[in-house]
Amino acid sequence: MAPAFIRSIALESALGADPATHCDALRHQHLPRPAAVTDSTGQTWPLLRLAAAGGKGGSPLARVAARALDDAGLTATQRGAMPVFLGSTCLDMPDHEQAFAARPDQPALMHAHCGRTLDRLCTTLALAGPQYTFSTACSSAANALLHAQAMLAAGAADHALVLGVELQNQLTVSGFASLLLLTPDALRPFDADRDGLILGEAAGAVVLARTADPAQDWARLLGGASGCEAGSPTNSSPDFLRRIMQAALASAGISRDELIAVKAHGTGTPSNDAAEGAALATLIGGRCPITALKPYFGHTLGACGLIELIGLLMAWRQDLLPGTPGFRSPDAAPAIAPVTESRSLPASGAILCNSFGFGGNTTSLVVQR
Amino acid sequence: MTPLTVLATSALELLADDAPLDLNARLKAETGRAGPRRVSRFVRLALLGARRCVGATPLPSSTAVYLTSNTGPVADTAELLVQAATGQPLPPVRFVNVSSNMVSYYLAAELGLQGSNQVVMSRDLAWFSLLETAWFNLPPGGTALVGAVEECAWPLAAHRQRLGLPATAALADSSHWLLLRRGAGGTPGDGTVITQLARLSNDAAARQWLASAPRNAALTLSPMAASGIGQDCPVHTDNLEASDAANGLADAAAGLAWLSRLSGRAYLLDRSASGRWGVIRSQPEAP
Repeated sequence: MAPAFIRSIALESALGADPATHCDALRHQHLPRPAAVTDSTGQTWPLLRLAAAGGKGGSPLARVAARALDDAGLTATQRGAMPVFLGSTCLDMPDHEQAFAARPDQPALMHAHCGRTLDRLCTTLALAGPQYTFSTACSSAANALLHAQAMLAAGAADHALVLGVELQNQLTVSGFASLLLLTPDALRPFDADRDGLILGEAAGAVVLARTADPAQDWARLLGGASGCEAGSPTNSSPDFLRRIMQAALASAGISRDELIAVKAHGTGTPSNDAAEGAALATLIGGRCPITALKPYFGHTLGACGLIELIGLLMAWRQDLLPGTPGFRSPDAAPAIAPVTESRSLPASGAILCNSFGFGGNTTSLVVQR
Repeated sequence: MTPLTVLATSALELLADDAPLDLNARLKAETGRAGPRRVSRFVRLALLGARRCVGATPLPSSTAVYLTSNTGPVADTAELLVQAATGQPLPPVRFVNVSSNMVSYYLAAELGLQGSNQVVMSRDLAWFSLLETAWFNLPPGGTALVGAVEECAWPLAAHRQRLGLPATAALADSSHWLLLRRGAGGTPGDGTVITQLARLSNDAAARQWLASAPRNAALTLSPMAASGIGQDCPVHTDNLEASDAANGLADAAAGLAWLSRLSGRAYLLDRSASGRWGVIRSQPEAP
């Protein structure tokens, strides 16, 4: 498949709302201070809220979408026709919860429609092209990117807008708490003493283009692979994860020896990191550095495939591979040791990016500069 | 792009009554076995439709699953939302099961599938958009199960209110499925092939398309398309009948009804509530 060119990016996260702030935090490991949120049983958990600096101009999703479109220099006609993709887990759950709190006499999920979040955004921004909302748990946005690339490669569009959003809601906090997946402490990807994840809020946007503009492009999306291992609703096997990563490399037309880094999914939960660590240990070994970015953003669930990619690209443009805060000592073998300090990254090369979700949904992407 | 061959179809619409139909009993009666334990009605509904579609056909493990829904697992999600909002603990298994892709997960588990597993929703032309997902992503020779599943939530009066429907509107559980393969077999009787998917941006574009449509092909309008084009359609068309149910994916039901009665090269035109159009070109055999 032909590559797609990442023409523009925009991100609002717990770290801030502009590339300089993100790069500074990623370089110096300035972690955002979590807010305290309460689950439905009254227990309190840390959560990385959006930085207040995101500010004005509609919802976080509308702001990043508008910024990415502006930066890509697209005309109104181009915007009006381009396909728009969204990867999200929460969709409009925060609005539904607010509506139910205000009108408990009405049924929950009034005006429910899984495509409503994206449709509202497209109406706001006068985007009249096709809309695709991907909902495959934590691989949603990565799958949205892959589908957008396929559409561009087929010549069905010249540009595509790909979005990811995750916002705090009671259902998600309480659900993850009920699964014993949240940590009250710190998110420590691949660390022997990891004990769970911290949820995060973020909104991100990229414009993909069918043809290159070397002066502007952030990177190329070379390819990727997605599969479903239906062995366990919440865990995947190392063997299956490795097979998907290998398929992603094959799709991109490169070998593992050509990778200059891996951005792991790295949730900080015991079983997920054990499986991903074992898969990476056999596939990558010590061939290239591995990092995990969830300590900076929190786990942004359905959006994480896009949010972490944008963070990675912001850092990469500064020749920087962010380190993985929280990692202290490796797990029992087979295991990996992600880089703990930020380090320089070659200006060109390829990076493998993993996003794994509930329901065995496993997606790996390969980006190149 | 190379065509998609339709290997099997199944359309299922179960009009809703005062109490939910026991889908596990229905699964057992129709397919010889019950569904997995601890799954929602939404999952059982999907399994019922998919099993009817696939039958005893063995599928390659690389088969993809593409699913769409307007409201997803709405009954369980609404219940969990209320529990979370009113200070009750959430049952972990039910929380995992309201992730939309758990439906396609259980389907993949039952059929031994490990291919791409996507849940793709759209406010406009949801079924058409899902077909596009298969169209752009299926590799040569690849197979995909493509489904549209919509469940009711009880009490129905509250669900009608939720959906903004009149108090008398008929509701249904529905589970519509297609089994597709990329590429035309070229063998007579191999199956209907979908040869093109195209979008039209508004009613004027649709009218123009119809005025210049190929004269050697049958033109069929979905109920939404027929009402959008009005009485002065520039060419002769067949019009599909509207579903009895006011909820669910009418475009999926229309698409399957159309495929089941193809007799030559044909076009189906569908229209969304906001005036966007999708055109599917198909024919009974490989081109």
